[in-house]
Amino acid sequence: MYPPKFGYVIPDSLGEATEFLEQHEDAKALAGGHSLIPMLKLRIIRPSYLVELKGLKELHFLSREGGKIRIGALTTHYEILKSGIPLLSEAASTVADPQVRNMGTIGGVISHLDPAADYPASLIAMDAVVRIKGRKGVREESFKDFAKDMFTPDLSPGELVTEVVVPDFNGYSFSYKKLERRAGDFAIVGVAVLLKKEGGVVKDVRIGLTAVNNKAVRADEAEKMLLDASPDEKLIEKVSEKAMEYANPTSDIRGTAEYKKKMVKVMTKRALLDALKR
Amino acid sequence: MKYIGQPVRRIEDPRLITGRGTYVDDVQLPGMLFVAFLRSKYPHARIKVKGGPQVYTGKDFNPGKDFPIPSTEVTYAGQPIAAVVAKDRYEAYDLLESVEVEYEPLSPVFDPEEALKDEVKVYSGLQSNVYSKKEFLSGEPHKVLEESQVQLEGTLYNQRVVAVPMETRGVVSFFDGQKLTVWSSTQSAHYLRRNLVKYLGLTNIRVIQPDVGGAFGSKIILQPEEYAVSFLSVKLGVPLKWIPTRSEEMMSAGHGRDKALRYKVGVKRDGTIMSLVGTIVGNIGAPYSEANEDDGGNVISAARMLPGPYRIKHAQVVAYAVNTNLTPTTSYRGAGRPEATFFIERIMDQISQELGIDPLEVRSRNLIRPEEMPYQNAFGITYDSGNYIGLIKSAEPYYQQLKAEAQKENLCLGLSMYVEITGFGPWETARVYVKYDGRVVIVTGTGPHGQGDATAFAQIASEALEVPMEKVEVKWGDTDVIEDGIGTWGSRTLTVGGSAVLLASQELRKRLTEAGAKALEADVEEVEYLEGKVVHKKTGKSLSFDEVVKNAYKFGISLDVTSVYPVRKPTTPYGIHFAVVEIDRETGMIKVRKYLAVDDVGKVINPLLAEGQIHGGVVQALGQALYEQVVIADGIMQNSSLGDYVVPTAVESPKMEWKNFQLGLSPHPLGSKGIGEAGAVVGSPTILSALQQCTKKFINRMPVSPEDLVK
Repeated sequence: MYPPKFGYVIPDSLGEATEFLEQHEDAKALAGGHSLIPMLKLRIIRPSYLVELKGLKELHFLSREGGKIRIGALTTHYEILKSGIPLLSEAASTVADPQVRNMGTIGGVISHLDPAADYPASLIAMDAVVRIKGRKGVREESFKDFAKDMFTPDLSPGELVTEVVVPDFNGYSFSYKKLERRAGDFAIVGVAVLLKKEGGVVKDVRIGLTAVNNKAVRADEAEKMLLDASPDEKLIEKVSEKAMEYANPTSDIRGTAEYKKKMVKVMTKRALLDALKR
Repeated sequence: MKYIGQPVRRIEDPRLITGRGTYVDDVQLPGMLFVAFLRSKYPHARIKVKGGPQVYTGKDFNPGKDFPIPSTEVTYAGQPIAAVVAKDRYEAYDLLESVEVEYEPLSPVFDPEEALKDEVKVYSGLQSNVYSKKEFLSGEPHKVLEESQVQLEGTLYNQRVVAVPMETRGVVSFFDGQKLTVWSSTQSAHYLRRNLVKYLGLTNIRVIQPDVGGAFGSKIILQPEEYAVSFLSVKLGVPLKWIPTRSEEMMSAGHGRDKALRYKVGVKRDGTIMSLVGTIVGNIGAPYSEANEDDGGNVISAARMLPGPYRIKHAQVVAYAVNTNLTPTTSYRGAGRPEATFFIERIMDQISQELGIDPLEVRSRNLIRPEEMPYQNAFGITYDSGNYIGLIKSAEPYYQQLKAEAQKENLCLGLSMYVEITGFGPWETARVYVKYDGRVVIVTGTGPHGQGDATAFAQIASEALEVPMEKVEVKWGDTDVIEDGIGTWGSRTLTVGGSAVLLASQELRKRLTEAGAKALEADVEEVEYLEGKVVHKKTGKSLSFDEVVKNAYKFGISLDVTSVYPVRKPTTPYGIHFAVVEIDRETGMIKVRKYLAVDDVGKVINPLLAEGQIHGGVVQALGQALYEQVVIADGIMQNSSLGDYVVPTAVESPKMEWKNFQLGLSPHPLGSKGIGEAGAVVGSPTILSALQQCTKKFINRMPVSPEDLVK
């Protein structure tokens, strides 16, 4: 309940924030605070300083240009769910509860990398790109590479996620299906589907899975089975079966590995049917 | 002025919806320090704790003893083993990290069936791990069982859950050199005072129960920390506050249920139960006597209520309450009766399934007949009044409607019945006094903490005195403002506490009549008390309530009445509940869509509040049926946060309806019976019954997880 003692920094600029973070390796950046503060309260982490990002307006934006959507790292779940981004807005609407969504940010979620988080299923399906700023400059990583392992983002000391860039997926239909025991929970299984159909034929399809691996994965082979096909129930059943092969879940308080694996099939099927119907 | 029976809105609400309540953590005293407790990491170990200027151990609190605070041996993980005193809670928790403890782990035992063998002792000071063994017997159950046409058997598990009131326990304690004043989030100021007197050896103690954010049984007993904080404030002479974190609370308090029944039942082919034989084993956790007395009693309740509303003549139950190295269990909403109801209602559904008899029909065939009332069950509990078959008949149209709805939408409809014991004694107090200006003040010896009994008490007094409710206020929770009291638990407050309010109000009415007569220069017989006035029957001259009051003071007639209402026997409400449940056949996810409660709780004083009690109890029962359980590995609770311990949200809660029929009144002056626990008593088996209807699987443990249904 009670965080350990820490120092607190309110930087005037992004440069000042990254400089401080680089000089103080165990300092932590504070965004929405809905993963960091719970960890502080359990004393799981003991940073020397918190660096408050809230005042950095340049991290708080959402824009559409040239077929891309640029989402500033400090954009909240609530803002994302309201902004009509294919797939991602739907995923945002399932994150936790309204109060958490009012505070939590996309930059925070992907820098934290809980393996059961909602966004990663979508971001991996969308081929999202993460823009990172350090003192040495700006670099970009695909989300796939950025997420190295659970709770392990590709961030060096002094680096911050500044934005997430996704294609606008014009003309795609989509669905995010989250299995949860209770409203407000993390996912037991989450499946994100994006697809493009032309005259009943699938021209592009992306299936992202969350909560069933150390990090989100694409069900590539399952996707391939749908490509250039006119899916019927039988094919969808087979594709969903295939998606199960991409799940390597662990047994925990939310369910056994066996159950979760089965649910990948069920949720994939539902997400596909839902996306095809839209 | 008719108040009793009306859905009067809560007089408690205005303060609480404007943030003007005072819960224990809102209490601030000058110079107050904060206390935090270090808790055992091991379920069983010898300990050496290093004390210090701000660190107090069992050797300070109770030298040579291991309860309430262990000095040498811990018996459950989460047990408080040292207290630190600091300027505020942040520093207190910093300080906790510096306390040195040497643990020497000892063999623990967690399974009560193992513990029964007494091979490993839960605590070195115990003769046996068996806290109590009681047998109840009626007729010739074993012989009749052998002769029965059908014999069924099984084991049923009613899992360990946590009460999880939104406000945890908490204490503020101050000793002024003579008198100790203790504010506590407790279910009874008076009962806590008596316990503190016993443990501290002081009698000059005042206990205040401020606003309390729920308890559900978890705040009845004297908590080890309540004792320790009070002890420390006497020792140090400074005001102290203790508020645990949620994780501490989950690990160390409010554990309940955790009982299993092994049974054999002999049945006729038509579903009539001929004989029931069973063994109940209750896991009551570590041997802290205050908790063990509480939940040991609940094991007995679970055993004696096992026959439910059914006429089972030949029956035997052996009930064990067994210590283990887990958190001591205490009462949780229903306190033994939910377990009994779960056991017998599961057995009913098993018979229904095995013999292919409709679940309502199989129950009807076994119900106690109205002409048998009052009925003494096989284990000596008397069911005082009611008409069980009549209630089913009253529920029939609703049942048919639900059945049609369920069939249409391919949903599962389940049902369960219950009979409950409520309104326990031994007595309760009420004080009613009138200020010189006519303000009526009621003080109850009970300790409401959310149930809204104050509103009902105001209704009772207003009706008895025929004055508007606006004139009446209700107070409780301060041992200095009424001579004594018992408390709020066992669904007793309105029935027993209300009877005391009624007695006191009636006595006051008598005194007002006397005062009125004297003021009208008439004999008492010549006047009557009417609508709050005293009227001369012949002359028609009358005095208003306020005038009578002023005269009473002038004449030296005290308008301060305290009544004690003694209780002879508990009273027994009953009912039939229905749940309409949807199962997602692919994921196993369960949604209770609709819930209908049909109850007879005698005279209903306030239907709005009674229904609120049903809703609350049912959602807790739903939690136990589908979500809640204490997950333990190596004696350590694995889900001691609200992230992992799943209590239902609004999304998981069903649409609920409540119907009540007043077919049997209690013998108490108000005619009411308790309803506080009914929803929690019958809700879980009702939901399980629905699941069985759809899956055709017999479920013997809870919570039912989605994966249980897709296996």
